[in-house]
Amino acid sequence: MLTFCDGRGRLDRRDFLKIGSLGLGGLSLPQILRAEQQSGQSRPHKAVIMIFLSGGPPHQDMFDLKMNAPAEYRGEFQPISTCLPGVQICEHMPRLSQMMDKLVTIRTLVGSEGRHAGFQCLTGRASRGTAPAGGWPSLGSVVSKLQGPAAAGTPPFISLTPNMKSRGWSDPGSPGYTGRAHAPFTPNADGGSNLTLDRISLARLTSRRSLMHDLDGLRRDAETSGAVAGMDAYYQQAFEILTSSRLANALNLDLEDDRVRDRYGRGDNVPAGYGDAGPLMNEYFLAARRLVEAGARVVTLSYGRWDWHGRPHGTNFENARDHLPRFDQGLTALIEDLEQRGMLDDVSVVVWGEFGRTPKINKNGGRDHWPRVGCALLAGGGIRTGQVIGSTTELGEDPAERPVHFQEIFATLYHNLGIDVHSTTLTDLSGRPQFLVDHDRYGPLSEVI
Amino acid sequence: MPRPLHVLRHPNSVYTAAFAPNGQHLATGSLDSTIKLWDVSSGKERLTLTGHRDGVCGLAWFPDNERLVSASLDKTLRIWDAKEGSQLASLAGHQHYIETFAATADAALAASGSHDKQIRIWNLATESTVQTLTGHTAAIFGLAFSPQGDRLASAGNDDSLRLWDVSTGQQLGTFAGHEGAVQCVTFSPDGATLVSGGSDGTVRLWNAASFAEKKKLSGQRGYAKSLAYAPGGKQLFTAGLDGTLRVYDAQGERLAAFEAIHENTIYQLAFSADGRYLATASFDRTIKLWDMRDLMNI
Repeated sequence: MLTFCDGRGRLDRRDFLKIGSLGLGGLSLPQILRAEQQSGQSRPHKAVIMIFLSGGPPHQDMFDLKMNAPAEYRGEFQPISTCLPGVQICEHMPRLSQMMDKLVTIRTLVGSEGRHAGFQCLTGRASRGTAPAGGWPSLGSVVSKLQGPAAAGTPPFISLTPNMKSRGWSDPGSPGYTGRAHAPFTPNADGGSNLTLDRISLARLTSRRSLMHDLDGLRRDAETSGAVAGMDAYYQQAFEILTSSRLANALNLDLEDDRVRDRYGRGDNVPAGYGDAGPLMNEYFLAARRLVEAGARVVTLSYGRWDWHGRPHGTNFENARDHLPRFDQGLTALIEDLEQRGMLDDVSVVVWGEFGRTPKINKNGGRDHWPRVGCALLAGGGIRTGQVIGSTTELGEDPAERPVHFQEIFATLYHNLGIDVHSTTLTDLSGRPQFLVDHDRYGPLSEVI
Repeated sequence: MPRPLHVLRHPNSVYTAAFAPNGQHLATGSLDSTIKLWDVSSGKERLTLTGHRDGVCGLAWFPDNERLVSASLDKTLRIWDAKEGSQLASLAGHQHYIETFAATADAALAASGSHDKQIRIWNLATESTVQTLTGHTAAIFGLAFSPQGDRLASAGNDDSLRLWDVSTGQQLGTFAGHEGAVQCVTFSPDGATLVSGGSDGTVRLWNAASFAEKKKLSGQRGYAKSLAYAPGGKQLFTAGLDGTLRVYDAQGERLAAFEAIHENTIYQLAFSADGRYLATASFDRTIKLWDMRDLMNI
């Protein structure tokens, strides 16, 4: 825990240096301010919201139903028509069925390393194999490094993922060779301890009344001690950021209209499924929109537990009947909300998990891991939506046409952010330039840009 | 359509429910690893019992109304002081998930069926295994003691339905007919009829003495996951995958169906001893408490 007051509740210069180096999304506050001064900040910024369906969603029960397959493959669900002619999806996603014109559905996601973790969805890279010095950075860290903060008081990279028993799923995103300065700000992990001042927890930070009371006290202490007068301009501004309410307000959903919160579906903050994964918290979707509105460039979150091996933890289909309606409500609310606020063309939404699930239903009513093919959704970001990319074989075992690699999705997201993956490099910790994706093999999806 | 008296909620799917013998309290067990105790008349939560390390799949009360026994996916049975909310004992032995559980009416014996393909019969007074029943070749999905407690029926993911002698642990015979896994089983209150529900979508009535099939009830959508006779034995209730509650007379003629009372699979039906209340526990995270007069007046 960071401390801003001495034992008597007073501030000194050293405390302010701590404030100045407090990681907000990894960046120190002076860095944020300098970057902001250099770049200007008033124009609308591009952003990405990444929804990680931890555990691996069943592609064949959501967006690629195989109604002509034998019963042991087909599953329990019926398809429903969508607003796209000839395209059907699962009956438990009726809202999404009417929003398919705003989505790109990818039925042929390939390249999964088959590991239960968010790493590949966060970085585009396999965790095994050769990595550059410092390790692969996640998308948010790359964007933080390349573009810096978009607005004062809001870190560029925020992960809403809470701590979970399964560490692979609670990974907020490694900064890799971009360095810790570009690690995500993680308000839901560790009880928000990376933004805990001596008397001000994140919980209190989200309560404007208590926040202002605490910060007023902090400011009085600072002024009394003369600490502020001795700081350079950046540190004074850094203090202003901490005392600004931009981030706290973005995280304070009580400030949102109840009708909007209801439209998102609110959700539940208890771990889903076996108790080791993320909650089915639809308000994370809403918080993501608010954070982007407040200046975040990349917001990631884990949603639910999609690792449905079957009984005794419920069959694949019982879990799907539990998750899909909530997911349907939350995702459609997010897209609708972004559109109504005029943000959809600037904000890319990506939804995916680490792999697909076995075409054949196992003896316990579950589907197991299937790295050979999975699914992903894209929305917003100015891409051409209303299309389905790829098709799978009769039983959904492999791509039949147009396999789409994880890195093609990354290249598309970078494209939407205004970053050219064919020319942009970052230097790893050994001093070697690194492209953001394997650009000689993968580029943005030509179908959508 | 009748309305439930109370809708009770767990943070996660609910697998099991059991009324205290005096009818004042309902215990419910969930995939959230807890047991909740509810006041039946008010629907208020009274206690949450924590200690299991995985979902709770079975519950039974002792006749004293003060203790209950639970079975969990964490491979253990536990005995609880329901007044204080404290754990009194933990019984271990299974090598894999426990999926199903049953107890005799006097709670002298309990049985647990596991993904280790074994059934264990427990003496709850001595807190020890008294029989280990082997023969199933896949996970056990359903168990039921006969009303006298001398026989145990088991339903398995190996598509078999078996009957066992409780005192000797010997298999007495099998009931052949289901095409696919057998999901659930119960005895009629007189012990003469055994009822089973299978993945083949049928509910079957069997002569428990001769092992002969008496009647096959069709009309389920998906499969039945829970079966229960109302006290007195005049009505048989079935529920399962489609969230619908169906009511049959003792001969298997359908009396009523209450469509989609839950949004997901109904895992258990439990009656209060006086037959006044029915609890339905579902994967949709709720338990609904019904007044039988409302249901049977329809």
